[in-house]
Amino acid sequence: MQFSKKSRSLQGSFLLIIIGVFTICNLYSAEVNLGTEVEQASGKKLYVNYCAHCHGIDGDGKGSASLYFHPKPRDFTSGKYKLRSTESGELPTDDDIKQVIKKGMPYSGMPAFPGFTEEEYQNLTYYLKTFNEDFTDPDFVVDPLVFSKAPPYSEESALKGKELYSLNECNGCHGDSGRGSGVSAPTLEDGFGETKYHIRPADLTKRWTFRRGATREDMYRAFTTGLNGTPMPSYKDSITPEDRWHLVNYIYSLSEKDEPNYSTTIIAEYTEKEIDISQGKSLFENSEAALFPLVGQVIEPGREFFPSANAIEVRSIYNQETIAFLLTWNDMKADTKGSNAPDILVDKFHLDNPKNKQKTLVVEERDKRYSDAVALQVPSKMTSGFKKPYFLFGDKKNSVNVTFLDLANKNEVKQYTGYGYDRLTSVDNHVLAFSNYEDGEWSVIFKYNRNLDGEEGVSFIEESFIPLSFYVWDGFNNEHGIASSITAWYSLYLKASVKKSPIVPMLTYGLLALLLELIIVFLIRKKFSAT
Amino acid sequence: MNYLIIPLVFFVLFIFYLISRSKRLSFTNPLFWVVAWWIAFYVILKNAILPPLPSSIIQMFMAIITIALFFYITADTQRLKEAIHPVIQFLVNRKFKLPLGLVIIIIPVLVAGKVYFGSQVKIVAPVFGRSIHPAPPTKINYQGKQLILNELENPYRHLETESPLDFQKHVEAGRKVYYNNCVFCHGDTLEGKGIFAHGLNPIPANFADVGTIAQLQESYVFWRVAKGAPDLPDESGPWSSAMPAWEKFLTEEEIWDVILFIYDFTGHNPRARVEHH
Repeated sequence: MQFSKKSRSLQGSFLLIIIGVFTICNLYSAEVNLGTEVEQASGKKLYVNYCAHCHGIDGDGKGSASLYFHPKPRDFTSGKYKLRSTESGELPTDDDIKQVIKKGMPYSGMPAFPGFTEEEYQNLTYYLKTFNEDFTDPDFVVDPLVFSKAPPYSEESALKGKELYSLNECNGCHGDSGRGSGVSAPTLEDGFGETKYHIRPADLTKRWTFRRGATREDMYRAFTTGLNGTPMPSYKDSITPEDRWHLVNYIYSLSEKDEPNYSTTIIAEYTEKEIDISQGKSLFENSEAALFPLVGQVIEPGREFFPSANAIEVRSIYNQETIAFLLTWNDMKADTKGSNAPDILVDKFHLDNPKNKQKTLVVEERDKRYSDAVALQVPSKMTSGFKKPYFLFGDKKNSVNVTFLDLANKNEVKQYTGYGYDRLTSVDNHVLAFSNYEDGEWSVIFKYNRNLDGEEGVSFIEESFIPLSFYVWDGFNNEHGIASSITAWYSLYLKASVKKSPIVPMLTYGLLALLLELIIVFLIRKKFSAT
Repeated sequence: MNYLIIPLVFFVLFIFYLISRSKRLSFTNPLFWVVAWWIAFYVILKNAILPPLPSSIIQMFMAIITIALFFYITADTQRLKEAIHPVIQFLVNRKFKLPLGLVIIIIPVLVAGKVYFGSQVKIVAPVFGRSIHPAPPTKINYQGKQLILNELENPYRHLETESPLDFQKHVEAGRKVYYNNCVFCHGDTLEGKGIFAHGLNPIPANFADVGTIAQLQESYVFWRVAKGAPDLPDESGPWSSAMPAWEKFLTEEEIWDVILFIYDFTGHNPRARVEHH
């Protein structure tokens, strides 16, 4: 049989088309992977047990617990996923979703679920994908970007990154020092759903709080893919990969470690000099910083579920008569309007009043009512053994002294005696304070009389452990009264003013050991030398 | 993996035994074996047990083992003689003059060094060893009524067998209570890893662990939930516990529901009450 030239070419092109269509279908069917109904059903079981109370039974981010969280639980129907390996605005890959479930998002309501099997992660991912139709559309399914390992870290690169940081106006949101205090930070909103919530720029000086993770690769991905649903854009097209690594190295240089260096004891250093608190932070250069985690007050009615501050750093120095504390914490914005106090009744903006639950944490009206504030708490008197007053404003039997500074009224230090959160009485005090807000950081100094005669509460005696704890209020976040961030009891230790030489005890014990040896050798020789 | 250390240690001892038998070396001496056994026990206690034993417990065990080995040596005069023979030789015999002199110098130096490094340790506040599950009171005052803990039962527990659907409703109500209140400290998976856990001392209880609710009666859990930190006795450090007195926030039914939920989620059963007749 013979084919004409024409029919041959027709046949050929027909074949090509078929092959083409077949390959495309094949490609897409490999990518649109929604799992079987059985797999989705088993994913649903996990979802109902572990996710629905926050993300909602319909995946809309409106579970009953979502009221309490900030940032809000993700609305899966929006298809907007922050952490992806795909280009800005695109859907995530299955692996992206699985990674978030496995690792969680630090310092947000999303916990890590490291204990599922590979199959369970996959089934849960299949189920999450059913909430948004785009996952079923081959047009929306994309390949992940390819990421390489981080090039070696160098200080020159970090310095170049620092220049790029201001050149690209990262400071507009993240602030000049990276503390998340840029000028536009208070106005930022998320874009996940119809209701807009305020969203905080990441505090770049604490990489352990980064939602994706603390490694340089994690940061590079954030620059490259952007965070969908947030104001953080992708810099894939505007900054070269080389420059992105410089930026990464700069951000990396802003925190010391991957994990926070939380402490339990403040060591106060002795100084001969007069302590003049108007000198500010520089007074404390030689004393070691102790970092304490701050958490929400969720113990007594008037709860604060998501306070802004997550840690407070404390240093201390003392001389013959006085002791001073430097308290520093990062705050997006100095709120110096309005007022604040630990005994303000917690109002309708807080969640304990169910009528107002829906209104809370909406951007408008959050400003200007309450100012930023801080407090340092010690027991009113030292108790025997481990016994202490209750760590939240004391208890009926054992009271605490709370030194409070409203940062809208910086000159007036207030002191409260607390016999419980609802039994705070204002008392006279002789505490001096100095405060300063600079580039996303509050620093407050309290100076106390060491009270060695024990007349005004606790005496700050050398070489003893004194319990103390802290409170921070962020006015922008409507924190007021007992709706604040708190710490557990920690310890203060005044390092001896006269450094003791170890020579005397060393000599004593060394000579004692020698003497003992000689006696033993002598006795044994006396007894056995005959044999 | 760690448990493999036990057979490994015994294998090493066995090798020593074989060598000492075949070549009749000096370390057939009982003193060698006592020291070898002492080290073997220490290695096992220190490394083979998970979770690691606290150093105070290890010290206690080692003291017992030391005494036992001491008895082993002194129980038999011949053995004792054999064991101390090399020691006495070392102290008495002139040919060991130089090493003996060295030992006499080195030991006081080590002691002095220990004192020096002991004075250099980081200053850390002493740790309070709190009692985690203190004895409960016999009765509590709940919202104006007296509840006798020994007689208190979860009023919805019986539904588990009698009406599983109603039981499930209570569990679901408890789930909501849990995730709107407890999750911040006790965590999404009930393992005590909530977002505030790192800032609290004592850390929140891990309900998934066999050492918490699985060991307790529901009445005990009710007491802990309803009354929180303020009702703890001093040995449990009520001044530091962040457990709220949930009677301020929750109804009696909500407390019983959330108790059903934490048992249901973790798969634990409450400890059964001992019947008194």
